[in-house]
This record gives sequence, structure tokens and C-alpha cells, in this order.
Amino acid sequence: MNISRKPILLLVCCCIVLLTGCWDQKLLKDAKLVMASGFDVTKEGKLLGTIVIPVFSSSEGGAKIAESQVLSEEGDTTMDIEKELNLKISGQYDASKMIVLLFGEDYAKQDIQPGLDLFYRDPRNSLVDNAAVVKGRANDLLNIKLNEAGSMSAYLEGLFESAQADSVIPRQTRPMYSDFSDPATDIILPLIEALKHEAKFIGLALFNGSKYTGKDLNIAESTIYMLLANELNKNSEIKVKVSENEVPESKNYIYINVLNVKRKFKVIGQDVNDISSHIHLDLKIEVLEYPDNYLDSAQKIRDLEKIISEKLTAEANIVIKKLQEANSDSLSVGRRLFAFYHTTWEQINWSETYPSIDFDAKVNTKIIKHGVFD
Amino acid sequence: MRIDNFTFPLTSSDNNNITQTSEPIGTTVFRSIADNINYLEDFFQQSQDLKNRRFVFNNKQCITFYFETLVDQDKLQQNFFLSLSDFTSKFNEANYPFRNLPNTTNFDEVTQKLLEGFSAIYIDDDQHVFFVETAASFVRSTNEPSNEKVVRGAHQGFVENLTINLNLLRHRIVDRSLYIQYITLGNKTNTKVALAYMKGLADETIVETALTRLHNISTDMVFSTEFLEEYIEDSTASPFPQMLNTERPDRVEANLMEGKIAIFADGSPTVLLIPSTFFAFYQSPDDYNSRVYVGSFIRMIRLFSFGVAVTLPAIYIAVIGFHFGVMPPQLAITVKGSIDNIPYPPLVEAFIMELTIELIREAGIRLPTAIGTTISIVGGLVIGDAIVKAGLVSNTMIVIVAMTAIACYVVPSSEMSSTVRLLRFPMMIAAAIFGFVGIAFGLMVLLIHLCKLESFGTPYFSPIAPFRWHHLKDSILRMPIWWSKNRNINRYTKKMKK
Repeated sequence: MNISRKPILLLVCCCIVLLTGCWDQKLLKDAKLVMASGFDVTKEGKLLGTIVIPVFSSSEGGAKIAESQVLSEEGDTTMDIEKELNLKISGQYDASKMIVLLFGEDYAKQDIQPGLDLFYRDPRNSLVDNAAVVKGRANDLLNIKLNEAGSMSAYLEGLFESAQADSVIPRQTRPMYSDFSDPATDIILPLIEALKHEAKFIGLALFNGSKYTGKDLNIAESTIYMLLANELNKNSEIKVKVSENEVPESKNYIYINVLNVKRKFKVIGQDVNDISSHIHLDLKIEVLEYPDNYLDSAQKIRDLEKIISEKLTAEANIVIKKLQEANSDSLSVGRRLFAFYHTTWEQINWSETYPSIDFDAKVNTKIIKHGVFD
Repeated sequence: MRIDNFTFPLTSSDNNNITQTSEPIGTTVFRSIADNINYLEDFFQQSQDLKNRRFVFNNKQCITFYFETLVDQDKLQQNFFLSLSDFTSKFNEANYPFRNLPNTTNFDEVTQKLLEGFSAIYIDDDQHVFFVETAASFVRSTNEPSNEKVVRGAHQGFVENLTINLNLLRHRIVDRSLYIQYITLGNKTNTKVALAYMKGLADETIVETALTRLHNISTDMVFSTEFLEEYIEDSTASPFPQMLNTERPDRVEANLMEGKIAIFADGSPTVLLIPSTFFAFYQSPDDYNSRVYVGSFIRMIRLFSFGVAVTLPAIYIAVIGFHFGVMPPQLAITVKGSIDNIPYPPLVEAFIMELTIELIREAGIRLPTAIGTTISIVGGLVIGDAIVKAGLVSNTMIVIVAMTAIACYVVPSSEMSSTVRLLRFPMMIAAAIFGFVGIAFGLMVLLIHLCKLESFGTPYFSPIAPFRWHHLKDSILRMPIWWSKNRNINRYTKKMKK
């Protein structure tokens, strides 16, 4: 009895392991990698989803993306669209490699939170590194016929990466969803525009909660905003008008690059009625271009530093004013108040208080490099 | 001289007599030379290489027996007959020529000596049998073993002759505490096995265990030390070798000085070292012959190669079958591009390629060098290239399998290398069924097994389990030699201080 039982037991063990099959297998070769997608709202109020799937051609030296397949579908929710799209594509819809997510202007103004639910609920999905608001419709942008070869998603990813390196748009370091549920902070997303054969960043879209306010910062302001947010990446090039009446016109400008930012961010809020916030920036800068070209004396440099500091202070205050007007607390003043003056925080409604608090900035610059001239 | 008038068509009944002819111990030699001749030739089944030579000495009939295949005829002539001819002229009782020769009256001893290459001299009317040492030995030179090459260090290796092997060892360890014990194993082959260790360093209980296990072996033949290994190892079911085997005298020397025991067997150039740990298989004399940084780096590469060889194909299968989310987008595109047109699941693809590599390897070993090169070209280039172009296996899979294959051969011990090659197959299956979870389970089982395994009562996975901080410096890294003031093996070594 015992002798015959042993092989049967072994067989049962093998069967248990092998007969489970591959129920949770998800083969890469069966998947259709959706690498960029966009959301719009139609005139009827329905959701319009557009996806970009790169088309591969394997060749010597590895796989190449020759072009991309752009599909769109209408539906009531994101999942609805995904299901419809899945019926159109040859393979399993897979959003785990989605690197770019775009929101149409009108869609973003409604609310972007419901559309993101799916991305954060399914652990297989990507956490959406690069999200942006499109001036116009996301569908139009994703349908641009590009001048350069390659897929739309790769182009957009490259666009994001280089803009992030230039400190024009912020890098997303935590999931947007966590900021939606936090009343003490707001998200800020890059604003992108569709041109004829390419796309271009035109600034930052200010959000209040998960809704786009319709107010924007332009590129120059975005650069200042990035310094205020202490998010200097590789370089940060800023144009400053340092004089008025030089001829030719280009002699009025200096182009600087910020090498180092030291930020002091103070929030004072003992008194419920007198909440104030102050940002002090110490910038170490380098002169990139200065057609006027007389940086031979220390005095001249000191004067220039003074003018640049004044101009940048003024611009920083304009940025802050815009943020307050849009009621977008993307610099997270609220979070500091929440942490340091919690009793005050509990007595106020932050979204009502924020636009009226006393919030200003001061910028100090120091030129530490001015190239090989002089 | 030769007596050829024997009839020897061996019938089947004669064959059956083999067991009956083995005489009880203690049979004495007959007085009459004729009886002796008959008895001896019958005893050896009238084997045709048993030769004899008759001569008359001191007016007595004498005969010398020897195995033509074991004896150097020149030696017999020089050592015995020439000196005998001197004696015949001026013979007296005082310088009786056989007086100093070893002799016996025990028949078993006679047969034993004959098989060892001695010549036996029978004298009529004398019960004593005298022996002359005439053994011929044909040995190859002590070249560097081809499977354990080093860049720097001694280029000497053991050979098939036990005496030469022990001679190499004695030359390296000139100390009275080097102790050698002989055991004869194999009922039919009577192979000489030698146990060598440093008295005072090696743990006596391990020596005892080893001896007991060796004595308990019941087998007809011992044709190599590896053959012995299976009889005396702790766990035959384990995939891991529990005894380090080497053909390098310097490796044996170093291990003996750490309190280990070496087992030699006649006819085998391989030496078994007990007890062994997992990390001993990843050490090479090269490590100690090169600079500290280089030695440490190479050793870490080797341990890393263990991880790669066991898990890399499994990880790849798990990633493309379950968790391709872990790949960065750019990598995902590259991989997807290459596997998009493969007609079967990743496990099948991996098995095809792994088995192909194993085939090429096995074919390469068996074939002569000239054809071996052809095979590696056909295997490597033609199959590698054509299989991808035909769309049977993906480019990435080729890369993974090639890296795994290379990682396998980094291990300095060929024993461990084959173990590692085998281990990756269950891992691949686990990964194909459960993804990363399967790999985690596979590695857990592997680790549990390693921690539980013992080699002659000492923990196999030391110094990781049980954890010994001080011994890490010579197992995972190779710290300066003068750093380790204590002997490295473990508590079983008697004298700790060097």
C-alpha cells in the first residue's frame, strides 16, 4: 500500500504546481503598450480618450519605433474608454508603461480627479510621471504629424525631460492623487500647446485642488516659480532687463543662469487674522549673455547684482500674486501653517484665507561667474 | 624458461570457481616447488601475463614469478639476476644472497605482493618466498590541471600515482605533524586510499568520522576519489558538493593548514578535502597570489556570478511573463520589440536556448580539440545567429542565456559549476508559474537547504549561517593575509592561532 502511495503523492504534488496554469501570467508579447494618452470632454459632456501605441519594427541593433498608432474613443469613465479601445487593438491594453498623460483644457477645468482613479487603483499601472494640461484639446495634440521620426510618446517624453532639466516645469515627485486629498497644498502642471508639426511648453497651469483654474504662468514666470519652489534642476536661464534706452535693443538685457538657490521660507500665523508668509531667495548666478559687456570692475558687478535682485524680486512677487489670485497654493504655504500653527489652521478655511494672506518674496543675487570675458 | 604446456580454455564452470579459489587467510606456502607452481597458476586463473623464470641456485631448483604487465624486466635483471651471478662464484653461508630480502611463508602475502609488482622467488624445499622490488610505473608528468588553471601561482598538479601525489604534498609541508594513513578499499580493485591531515590541527572527531565512513564502504571497485565521495558524503540528495575536490597541491596544502583532511586515492589525480563550506568552492589560489583589492574584487565577482547563474533566466522569465512594469519604458520597448514575434511562452523559449547551450557544451567536451572548435563556431555563431533570424528565440533571451552560461563557468570548482547550472532550471520553472513570488520561494528553499546542510558535522554555509563576523573577511572578501590571525575554518580546528 505504502509503495504505491508514494508515486501518487508525488504526482499529486506535481499536478498541484503545474495545473495552476498561468492564470496570473501577463505576457509582454501579448500586451499593447499604451505609452501616452489624453483626456478631453466632448460637446455632449462625454469623456474622449486618446491613446498612443508605439508600433515596433525589429531590425538589426534592436527594436525601433517607426511610428505610432493613435486611437480615440468616447465613453463615460476611463475604464469605459479602456474597454472600448481594447476591442479595437490587437493585444491586451496595458497602461503600465504610460509615460505621458495629457488633459484637455476644458476637461482639466471640470476636474481631473475622476479620470485618474483607474491609474492609482490598479497597482500594475504607471504612476503617471509626466502629466500636462493642453491649451486646446489633447486629442489634437496627440494627432500632430511630427517632423521627426519616432513615436509621439517618445517625442513627448523627450520634451518633458529637457524642459525639466531647464527648470521650466516641475518634476513630479509624488503621485498627484495624494495632493488632491490634501487641502493644504495644490498641484501645478505644465501647460503645453499644439503647433503644426510639434508641441511646445508655454508655461504652468495653476490648479485649485483637482480643478484647473484657467490661469497660467508664462515661461518666464514659470522659471521664477521653480526657484521659489526650490526646484532648481540642471540649469535655470532667466532673462532680465537691466537698462532701458540702450541701442540696439539687445543691449538692454542680461541672460543669467542660476547655479545655486538657498531658500528661506517663513510662515507666521499666531494670529488668525494676520497670517503672513515670506520667501527669501539667495541666488548664486552666472552671466550667460550680456551684450553691454562691461563687467571689469567690482562696483559694476555690484550694481548689476542690485538691479537683477530688484527685477527678480518684482517678478517673484508677481508670480506669488498670480498664485494667490488663482487660489493655487502649490508652494504649500498651507502645509507649513498646518505643521507649525495647527490651532490657527483649525480655525480657518484655508482655501478662503489663502488669497488674502500677506505673502511676498525677496531675491538676492550674487554673480559668481561671468564667463571668460574680462 | 617459460612453461606453456597448460591447457586453458576457460569454461563457464571455471569462471564460477572464482569465488571458490579465494583461499582462507593464512594458507602457507608448500615446500615442494612443483606444488607451488601449480597452486599459484591456478590461483591466478592461469592468467597469461603471469610469467616465471626457472634457474638453479646453490644446486636447488628455483623459480621466480612475476606479472609481466607490472614488472620492469630491466629492474629484475639488474636488481636480482646480476647480483645473483656474482654470488654463484663465491658463495658461502655468511653472504647468502636472499638473507636481506623480505620474505614470507604466507600465501596471501605472496599474491598481494605479486599484484603490487614484486617478483616472488620460490626455492625448492624452502617454505620461504622472497621478494624483489621490480614494479614498473608509467606516470605522466605533474602538469597543471586543465580544469583549475591559475594566472599566478604554482603550475603543478596531482597525477594518477598515489606515491607521487603524497611526495608532492610532503615536499610542500615539511613537518612531522603531517600524518598519512593508508586504507585499502574495493574488494576487487584493492585501491590504496590515503588520508592526510595535520595532527594537532585537524579535529580528531572528524578524522574518526571520515575513517568510519571509509571503512564502512562495501564495494568491489574504487576508481576515483569522486566515486568515494558519494559513499561518505552527508547528503547525497543535496545538489551541492559537500567535499571540495581539487587537483592542485597548493590548494591541498592551504586547506590542510586550515585543519582540513585530504583524501587521496591511487589512480585518481583528484583530492577530496573535508570538511568544506560553500565559500571554499569560490576560493582559488589566484586570490592569494594577487593583490588584496584584486583578490577581493574577483571573489565578489564570483559570488555575484552565483546569483546571476541561478536567478538571471528566472528573473527574465518572471519579468516578461508577469511583471514587465518593473522595466523602465525604454527597456520595455527594446525587449518587447525583440519578443513580439516569438511563437511560444518565455519558459519554452528559455528551455530551448538553455538546452542548446548544454548540448554545445557537452559536445565540446567529448570531441577532440580540432572538432571542438568547429562545434563551438557552429553552435555559437550559426545557431545563435540563425535562431534569432528565424524568429525562434529572441535576441534578449540569447543575451540572458549567454550571460548565465558565462556566469556558470566563473566558479573555480567544476563540481560547483555543474550544480549551479542545474539549479537554474527549477528556478526558471518556479518563475514561469508564479513570477517573482516563485523566485522568492525558490531562493528561500535554496537558502534553507544551504543553512541546514552539513559537511562532516560542520555547517556548510558558515560563516553566513551560523554567522561569524570574523570569518567573513576571508570568505566573501579577501582581506590581507596577515589580518586573519586565527585559523579560518571554524571551531572544529584545534589550534586557533596561526
